[in-house]
Amino acid sequence: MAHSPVLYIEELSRFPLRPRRAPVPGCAHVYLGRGGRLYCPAGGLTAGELWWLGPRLVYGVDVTAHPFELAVEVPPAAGGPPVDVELTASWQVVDPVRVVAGRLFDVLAVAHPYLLAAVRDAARGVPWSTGRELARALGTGPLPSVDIPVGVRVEHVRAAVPSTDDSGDAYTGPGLARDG
Amino acid sequence: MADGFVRWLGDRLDELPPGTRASLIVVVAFVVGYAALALAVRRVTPALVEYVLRPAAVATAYTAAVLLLGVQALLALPFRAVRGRPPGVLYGAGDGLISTAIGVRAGMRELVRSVRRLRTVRGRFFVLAILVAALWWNHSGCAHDPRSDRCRHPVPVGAEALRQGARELRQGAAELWHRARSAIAP
Repeated sequence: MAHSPVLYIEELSRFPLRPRRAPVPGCAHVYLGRGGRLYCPAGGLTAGELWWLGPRLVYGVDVTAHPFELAVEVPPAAGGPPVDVELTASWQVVDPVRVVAGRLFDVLAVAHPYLLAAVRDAARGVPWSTGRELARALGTGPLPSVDIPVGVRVEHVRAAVPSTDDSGDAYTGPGLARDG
Repeated sequence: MADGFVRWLGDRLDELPPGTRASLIVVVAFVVGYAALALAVRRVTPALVEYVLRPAAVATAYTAAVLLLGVQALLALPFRAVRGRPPGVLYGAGDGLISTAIGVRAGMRELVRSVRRLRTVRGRFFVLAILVAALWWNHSGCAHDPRSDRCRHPVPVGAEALRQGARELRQGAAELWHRARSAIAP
């Protein structure tokens, strides 16, 4: 599944006159003006504004929440083999202009280092070197939201450390609760 | 116009016998009418619609749409000044203007396509049209005094002229034949 917030890009011209593409709910329009400025007017431009302002491009940006799962490898601070952490979260565009300005077409690729840093921050202060220790360090609650500086926020971040024993359970979430 | 043309043609054929002259007028009027009608329907009308009417209509519709879109954009300005969304009626008005202009363009394209079919109109339709026009001319010929005995309707006049012309033609041919026989046989 592609995690691109940009749904479509359309070239605009004054002639021939064409029907305006109305933004659907959950989609914001970002316009590239004649002077190269990006702007996102509420509700999208009207037909009159489109003709008289004459933007060159319109970007349809998805502003709905998108749940996702992501696996990251977190290396211990003291050194040693990295521990796999499975993240579930959802991303949502909070600033469509910055999404277009930052040419964001793959949220997960961009979010990966920020989420890795968030996991490290959450486990900071507790020394760990194994998956079980990392799971205890992370706790059971959600991690703080992560603001990615290209106009996207990642929320409801939950981390699970998969068990390396034969049970197949995770250390965090229900698994951690079981482990006590 | 038909009256004027017939009068002008009659003046040019003043020296011919009256029946022949009237017959020639009827025949020439028919041929000229046919040619003019064919030219107008098959050539002039499609060209006028394609190269004059269509560009003029599309340009007028586009110009009006663009000017009214300017008004619509101006009405949206106060809402943009407070970073607000203009009311739906402004979006609808703008979209309606665009749709109208596009509709005019599509309609004119369809009209041009239809009018191009006039290039293949058959000659019998022109004959029919001339007959209808002659009947109408006949009907309106004495419109100022329909019951007057002195006013003569064009169609009976034309028919009588053709009959008289045929009579004169037969007489002329007989006379020519008689002269030829006299010249050959002493």
